[in-house]
Amino acid sequence: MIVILIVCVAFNGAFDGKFLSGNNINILISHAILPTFTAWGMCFVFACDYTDMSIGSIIILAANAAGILGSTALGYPGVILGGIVTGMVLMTLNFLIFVYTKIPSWIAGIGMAMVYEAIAFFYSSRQLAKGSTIAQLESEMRKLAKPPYIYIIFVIGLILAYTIYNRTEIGLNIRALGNGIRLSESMGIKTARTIICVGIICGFFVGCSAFLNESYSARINAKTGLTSLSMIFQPMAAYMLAQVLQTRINIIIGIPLCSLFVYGIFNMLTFLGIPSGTLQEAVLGVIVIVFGILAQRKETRVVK
Amino acid sequence: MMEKRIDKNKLVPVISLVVMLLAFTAFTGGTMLSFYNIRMLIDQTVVLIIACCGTIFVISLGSVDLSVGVVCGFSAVIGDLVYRTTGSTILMILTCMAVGVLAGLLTGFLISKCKMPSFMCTLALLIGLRGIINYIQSIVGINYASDSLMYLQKESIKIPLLILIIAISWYVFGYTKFGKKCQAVGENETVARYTGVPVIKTKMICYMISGFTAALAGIFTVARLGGTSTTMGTNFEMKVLIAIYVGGILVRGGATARSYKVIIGAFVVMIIENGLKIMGYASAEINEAAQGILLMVILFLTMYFEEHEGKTKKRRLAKQ
Amino acid sequence: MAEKDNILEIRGLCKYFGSTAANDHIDFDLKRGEVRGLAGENGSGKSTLLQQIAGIYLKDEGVMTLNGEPYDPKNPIDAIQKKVGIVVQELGVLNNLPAGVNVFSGRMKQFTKFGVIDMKQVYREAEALFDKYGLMKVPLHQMCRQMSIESRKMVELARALSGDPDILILDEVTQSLSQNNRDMLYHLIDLLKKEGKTLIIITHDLEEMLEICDSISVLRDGQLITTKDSSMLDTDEVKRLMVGREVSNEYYRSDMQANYGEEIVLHVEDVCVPGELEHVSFQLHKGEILGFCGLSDSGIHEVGKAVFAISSHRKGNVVLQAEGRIQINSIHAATSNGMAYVPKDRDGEALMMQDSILSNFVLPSLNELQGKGIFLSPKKLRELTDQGIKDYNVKCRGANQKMNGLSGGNKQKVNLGRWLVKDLNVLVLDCPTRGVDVGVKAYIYHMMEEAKKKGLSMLLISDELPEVLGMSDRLIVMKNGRIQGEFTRGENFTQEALIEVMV
Repeated sequence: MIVILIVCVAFNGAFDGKFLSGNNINILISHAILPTFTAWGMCFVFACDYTDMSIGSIIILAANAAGILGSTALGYPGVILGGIVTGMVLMTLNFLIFVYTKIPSWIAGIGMAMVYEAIAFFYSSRQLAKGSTIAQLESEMRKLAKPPYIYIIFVIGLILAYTIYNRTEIGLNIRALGNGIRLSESMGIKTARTIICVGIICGFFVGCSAFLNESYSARINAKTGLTSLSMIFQPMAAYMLAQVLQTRINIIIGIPLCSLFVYGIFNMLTFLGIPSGTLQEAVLGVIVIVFGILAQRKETRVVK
Repeated sequence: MMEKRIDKNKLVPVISLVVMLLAFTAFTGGTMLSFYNIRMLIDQTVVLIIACCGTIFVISLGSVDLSVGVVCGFSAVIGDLVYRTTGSTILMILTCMAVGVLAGLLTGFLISKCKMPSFMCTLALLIGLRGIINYIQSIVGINYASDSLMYLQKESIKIPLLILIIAISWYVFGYTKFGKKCQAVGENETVARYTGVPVIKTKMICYMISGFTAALAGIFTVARLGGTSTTMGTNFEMKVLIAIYVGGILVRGGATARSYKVIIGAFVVMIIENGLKIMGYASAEINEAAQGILLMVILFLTMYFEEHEGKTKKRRLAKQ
Repeated sequence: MAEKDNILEIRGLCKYFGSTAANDHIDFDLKRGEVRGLAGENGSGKSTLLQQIAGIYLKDEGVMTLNGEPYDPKNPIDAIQKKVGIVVQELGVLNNLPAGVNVFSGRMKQFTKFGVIDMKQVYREAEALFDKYGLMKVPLHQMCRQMSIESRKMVELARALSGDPDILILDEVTQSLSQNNRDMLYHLIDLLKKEGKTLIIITHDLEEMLEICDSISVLRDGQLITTKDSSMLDTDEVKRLMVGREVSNEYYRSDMQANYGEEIVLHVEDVCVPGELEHVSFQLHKGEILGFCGLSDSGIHEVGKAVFAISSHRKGNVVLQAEGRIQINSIHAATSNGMAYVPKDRDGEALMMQDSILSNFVLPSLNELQGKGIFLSPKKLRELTDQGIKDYNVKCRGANQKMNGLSGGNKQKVNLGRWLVKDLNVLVLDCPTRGVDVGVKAYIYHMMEEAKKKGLSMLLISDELPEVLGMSDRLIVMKNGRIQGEFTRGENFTQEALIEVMV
């Protein structure tokens, strides 16, 4: 912790106080909140030993749904509902597929990501052909991602995630599943139902992340060629770091802190003039690998 | 004593090849089977088969390599840089190969020694290296490949090379102890370890082979396209995976991995892509959606057959 | 026909695993308020029977009646609600959840208000449960992962007791407990008996069983042989019933004297593995069968792993005396110098279940089979396997049959045969007869004797005392990761003498 603070202060000095300026901190925190919601969702997925690679493409679709509904008479409820409902429906669909086809979730997730990416791209190219742009939120509709609303949403999300993860039967059952299906079943847990619940819960948080993203950047462009996978890397890095720190701090609380840390690094890189989208992606890859190694350190089982 | 039984799993690739071929021949009104198109089809499939020949080693381990496409692009871009500075095509090819092997060594190390899940590690590589490719390309811009590299595009050179690569892969995978050991690791890593298979070394070599063939695929792609670009190799890893799984190899690898399956699988994938194109659905999103759905359906079918067979066997045994 | 004082009646219960019938038409009656012991060798179907009663496995055939009503538990929660609790041998606890949550997991409804669990109440109730039955205190807020095996067993026990069961099933609970906790458990059993509860107990320790149980049922090969009052039995009688009469002494080696070469093949010098082994040293001679026995967690299985360099952080020396002194510091060094290891978990660690017999059989011999130009001839592989199938009498449809279609005994024949075709120096066997039927057992002993005659040295690690006594030249008894005593064939080579040192 202290090391991080020193680095921050030193960095701040090097850039004439720009890094720790009120404005930048504000950007930093709001930016860190977006992946936090996704990471909370992933937290439930990983807790039961599943992986879902299509979260990124679901965020894109859900964000567009939020954009479309937000531009209608529905207003803010439309934005929120559009994001959350789409997120939940698609995630639930994913988990139904995982459970009933028994295809390993990571590869099924990639397959679904391809389908979702194609749908998003189909939508955006059709919009383009019609001469209009994809769903876009007017600036007065984008308050959700600005303080103080984003903080309120964050606190609600934190309370919900914490309660579900630690204090509900379903949350405990999900974590029980991480010990293996057979053991959980012998404990009387209805595994299939629980796994589908993971989809619903994760979908909720992913949906939140989607409408926040849409509000933050007004529009989310479709991505193809599995590039939507890169959207889950930042939350995944935050999750993995939080997992390493799990013994000291509850993972739900750890995630936003780690997310802040990860985003802080990117913010610093931007200050250093490293172009985003190219070399920053490379750094992201490195971060995932490093945290991945840290998280696997004590793994004794066979890893494929 | 001997009883010949036809394994449904073995039939999946053959059936899907025939069905796809017939279906698209019908849909395209025979254009599919025109001489010109078949030549096109083979030409397009070459790169895919080359990559599959290497990736099958990784798949047999029960692991996965999602970095095939990006290594293919990355090695080509680096090779291109070398070509620009030295002007030597030979050096360019050697650099490409070296980059591919090194990338494989890195992934192999991270996966075997550091025990990272292979899909996560290669995915990180996919994102990271793509970033570097974009960065390099944004600085140097698009370049055209050397004329001497274009010889690779000639069918009289390309096809024998392809056959050579297939033959080597087939031989190493099917008829050496290394291939058997890869399969053993995929079947059960603990068993392999206890019977003296150097698991870490085997995994590293597999990833190096996969990186090497990805680089070869990169060289052939450059020759085909006539230059490098930022999008080179995008989605290529999915094509490779689909080809392998369509061939009837299970995700768990092991004994289900066979060389002939990937070659059939590669053709199925290309027939679909080619067929869709002839039918006028050339757009990227339809292709991507088709591949995604195909991947899921195939995985489901192969797994279903496997499980179903297991169940009937169990029932039969219980009755005895 | 239901007698009033029978709390549980079972008729014609069957359970199949693949080709083997783990339970074969079992009729089983349990009187209200009795403590029943269940005896039988490994793989005789004891645990399977109990796990069906507790709803962990679903029965394939048969009828169960509980308190005069039809009883067919679909899952363990079902069973707990019908007041049947179980502590199982192997499954364990949910490692990544706190101990207190483990006690009630799957039944959190009672603590839930408005969808949120009152954690304080969970811990309070768990604590009350530990107090009520006088269980050893464990830190309830701690994750189970960080706890000792003994504490985890306490958590499981609390879980089984939390439903206030009428029938409590304890499957090998005592073996992982220290003496004072065993005493605690005996008190608990007394207490429950006074309350009129019924208990079913499995334990390896037959004397313990005779002491605490009112009556004992004996299972053999999935069938219930008999049920008798404890007062009418002694350990020898129970053992006789467990093994069955048809297997007398010719089962094992007939010679009663130790018999091996002078030459030392393997030196094990001061081997330590943190948390598993402490200062283990011994020597293995040419043509010797060196037995290892001890209670569970005594470290016998770890000796096998340490000798074969599988354990991580091993200290000390393992030296093979073949052509020169060879340090065995890696599995590769072991296998490439004529050492082989047959692990206890046959299906999980020794054989590739989804692969063919051929692939499994040739795997250790790949180096020898490789021909010119690194070529591996399919014909040679085939020949070796066919020969192996013939020599070792493997019942199968052919070399390409998948491993998981074979019976346990035939799997084990493949497993051992593929090593014995090689020119080995040392063979480490960890429970080689686990889960195979009597006939194959005898065959495996025969294989071992043949190999011994050819000069092969073996380490025989086994949970079954008669087996090590029957086969070994020398025998090392272990306890808590240390060597506790050594015996030589022909000198005070009896079960009583061993148990003296073991416990």
